[in-house]
Amino acid sequence: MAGIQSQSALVAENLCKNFGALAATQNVNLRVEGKGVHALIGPNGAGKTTLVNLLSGALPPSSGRVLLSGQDVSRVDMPGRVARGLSRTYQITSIYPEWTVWRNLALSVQGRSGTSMRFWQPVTGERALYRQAAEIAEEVGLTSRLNAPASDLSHGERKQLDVALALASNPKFLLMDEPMAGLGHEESVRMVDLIRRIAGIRAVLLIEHDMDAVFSLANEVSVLVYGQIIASGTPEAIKNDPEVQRAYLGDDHAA
Amino acid sequence: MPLDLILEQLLNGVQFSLMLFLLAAGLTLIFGVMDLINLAHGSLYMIGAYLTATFAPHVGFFPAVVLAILGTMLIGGLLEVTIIRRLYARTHLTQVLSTFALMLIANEVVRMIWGAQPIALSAPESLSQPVQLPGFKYSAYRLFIIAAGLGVGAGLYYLVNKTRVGMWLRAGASNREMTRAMGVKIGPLYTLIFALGAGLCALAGALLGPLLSVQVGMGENILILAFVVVVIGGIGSIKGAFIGSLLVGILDTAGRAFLPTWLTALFNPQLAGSFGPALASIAIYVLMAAVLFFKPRGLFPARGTG
Amino acid sequence: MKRLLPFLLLALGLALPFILTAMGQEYYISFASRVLVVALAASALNLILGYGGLVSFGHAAYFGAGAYTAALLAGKGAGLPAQLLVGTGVAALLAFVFGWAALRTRGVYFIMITLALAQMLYYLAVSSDSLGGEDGLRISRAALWGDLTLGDDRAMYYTALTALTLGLFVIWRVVHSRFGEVVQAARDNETRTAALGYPVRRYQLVNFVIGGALAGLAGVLMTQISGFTNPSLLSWQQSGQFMMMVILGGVGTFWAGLLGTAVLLGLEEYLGEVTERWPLFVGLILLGVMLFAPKGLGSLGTLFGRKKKEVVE
Repeated sequence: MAGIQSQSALVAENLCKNFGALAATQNVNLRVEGKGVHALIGPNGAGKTTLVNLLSGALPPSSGRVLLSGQDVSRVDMPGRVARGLSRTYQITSIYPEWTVWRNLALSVQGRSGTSMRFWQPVTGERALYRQAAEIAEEVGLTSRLNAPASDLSHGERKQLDVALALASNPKFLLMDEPMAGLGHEESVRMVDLIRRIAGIRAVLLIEHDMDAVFSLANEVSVLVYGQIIASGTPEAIKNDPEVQRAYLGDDHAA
Repeated sequence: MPLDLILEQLLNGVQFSLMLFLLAAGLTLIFGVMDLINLAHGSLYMIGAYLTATFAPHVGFFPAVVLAILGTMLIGGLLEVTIIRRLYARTHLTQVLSTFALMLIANEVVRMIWGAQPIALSAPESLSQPVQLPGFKYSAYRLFIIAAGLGVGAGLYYLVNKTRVGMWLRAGASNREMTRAMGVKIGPLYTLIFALGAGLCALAGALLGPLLSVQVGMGENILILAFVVVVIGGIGSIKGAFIGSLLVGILDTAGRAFLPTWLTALFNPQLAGSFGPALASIAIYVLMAAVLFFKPRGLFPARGTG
Repeated sequence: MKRLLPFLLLALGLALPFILTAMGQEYYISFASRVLVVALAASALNLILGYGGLVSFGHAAYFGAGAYTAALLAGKGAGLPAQLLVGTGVAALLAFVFGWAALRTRGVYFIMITLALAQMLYYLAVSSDSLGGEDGLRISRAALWGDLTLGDDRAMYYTALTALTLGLFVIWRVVHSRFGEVVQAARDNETRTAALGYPVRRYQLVNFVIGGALAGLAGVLMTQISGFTNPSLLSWQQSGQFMMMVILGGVGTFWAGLLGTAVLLGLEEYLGEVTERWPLFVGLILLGVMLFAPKGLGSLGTLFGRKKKEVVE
């Protein structure tokens, strides 16, 4: 496995997670690398979020390994994995609602330059932080809302902020847990656009129910059912895979 | 050390453990089911002891205990309906301080009614003679406490594991949403649990009253011990509270009784005299720290992997 | 106005002994010193509890550790600088050990383990002869300059004022630094803060140690004010009182420690003169605040405005 290719890949090796008797993740092998979108689809309760938690370090695996750029990070915590270039967004938006967008983003870019174990310098005096924060706001389209408290944002804007927070560490790999959930049509279009731009320079593992978005964005699609990956391939191949159609697409995505 | 002395101290430890369990059982249920930190739990224990001491001269010890339990349950129920239920949805910090305030209020009210001096409560006449056990004599009253504690423990076990109310309790302690989904009327159930906890407190206070002294603030130190028990046993777990009580009660009693002597045997008497009591009094906290080090959610965590 | 407030308060603080003397109320200078010192300890708890979001129920441990260290050192003839330095250091070390153990847990377990660890110290003090047992330790006041000692009310007052001013300045800088941002972020959303790459626990531990150290500093001065130290400084009621102060003052707002201490100690002093049932009234007021204005006395005015906003969310 440890070839040159794995040097910059996020790899799951025989990953398993049990909650009591429930096997939420069973023997998952997955490889996310380079640039572009690798989509992970599957019916509700298939264990997609569990898999994201295992990959990001929010949960320890029951067995199996997670490799990040060739290193075994199975026992490395979330901050440790962020430092190695992995970041994530949340299905249920995870931001700092009481803070302004600006402060949200400034906090997230603090980690880029030097340590945050700085006790004396007022952070509001650090112009560089606020400049970088503004750049990220620009990237996700929140510039006009910089001074608003995050709790005032619309649902779509919160999703954008969630993505922006994850982008701040300049990750090589980004795990996106249903970034389109609950978005209106226009907001979805904007989010698809944003994901495309993000994936232009890094590898994105995208979990999404919106099949139009998935098939327009993904270079590769994996299908997760009952904690197992039942198929992996190009979007075309997945669309035409009879097993996938039966297990998942069959119901309301016959197209 | 003579064997009978060790046995006697062991029995004392078990006896104290069982009373601790009465407090801890209520505390852990209230913790686990309602997610409430209740510092006023010790006040209910104090009220139970005071009520018993008040009734006993008129109606006799055992009827007084029953009356005290009923009275304290009533007070507990009223407290739940008027104040406590406003706290369930609040932060732990708010709960700690509100019940801290209740404790201050309870202390003053008791002082107003009964005065600042400790009041007398003696063990019933019928149990005043020591009993001859194999090898040594032992207080009949303490034996009675052990029996009562075991009886209540068994009753609780039955209630929690074999009855419908118990099923709700267990469901509530492991998953609050599920209790709601089961269509249980949360309000009355919570009042019931709180009153039950109050009754257990009153029983402990009534039975320990003759051994310790009935005075203002008597519930505070034992409350902290009960918290230690709950944390060691795992929040929401009756079984954990039982095992935890035995560990804490026996370790505390035995530590106080034997550690100084053992230390004297090992080191010089002066050093032992100075460190023995100190070591004995912190032994349970060391135990708690050790348990939490290896099992941060206690020995028997009631909630699932979270 | 907001920028001027610290300076106005400092000016008032500097002038207070003169005002009290002019009013013929010199007795209250010593009381004011006590308020300042306790306010420092309460502000330190506010750093942990208000800004860090960690409900530490054992704050008396660090306060008492400072007090006992000072008393032991004073008994060996050490001067004030040594007492301050070592007392603060011992409290910091203790906060590191206790914090490290307690931060393995969360929520209720954290509250209980901080409480229990502090109780451990309390019983150690009660049962140890070398710490004076129930009676505690007496000291003679430290010398300041020539014949002037901290037994002099004014000297003590200005020493306490200096300590509080420095302490609050440190807290202000810490809260507004990069470090402070991470600590507050961890309070508001721990998971996200970890997901942003910050090892949350390490930040919380350092913050806990800073708070513990400042409480220790306050403890050293408390010994100098009262001339003795006893186990009640380590008791859980003392920890509860610190929490009460922070909450009354408005948890997580900068002046919470000072405001809450002034209100609570002032109330106790006033009620204590009027009735011996003062704990009853303190309890009733605290309960009322917790039920109706949990964000502290400062929020009473905006109570209705806030309610509205909560409904919208």
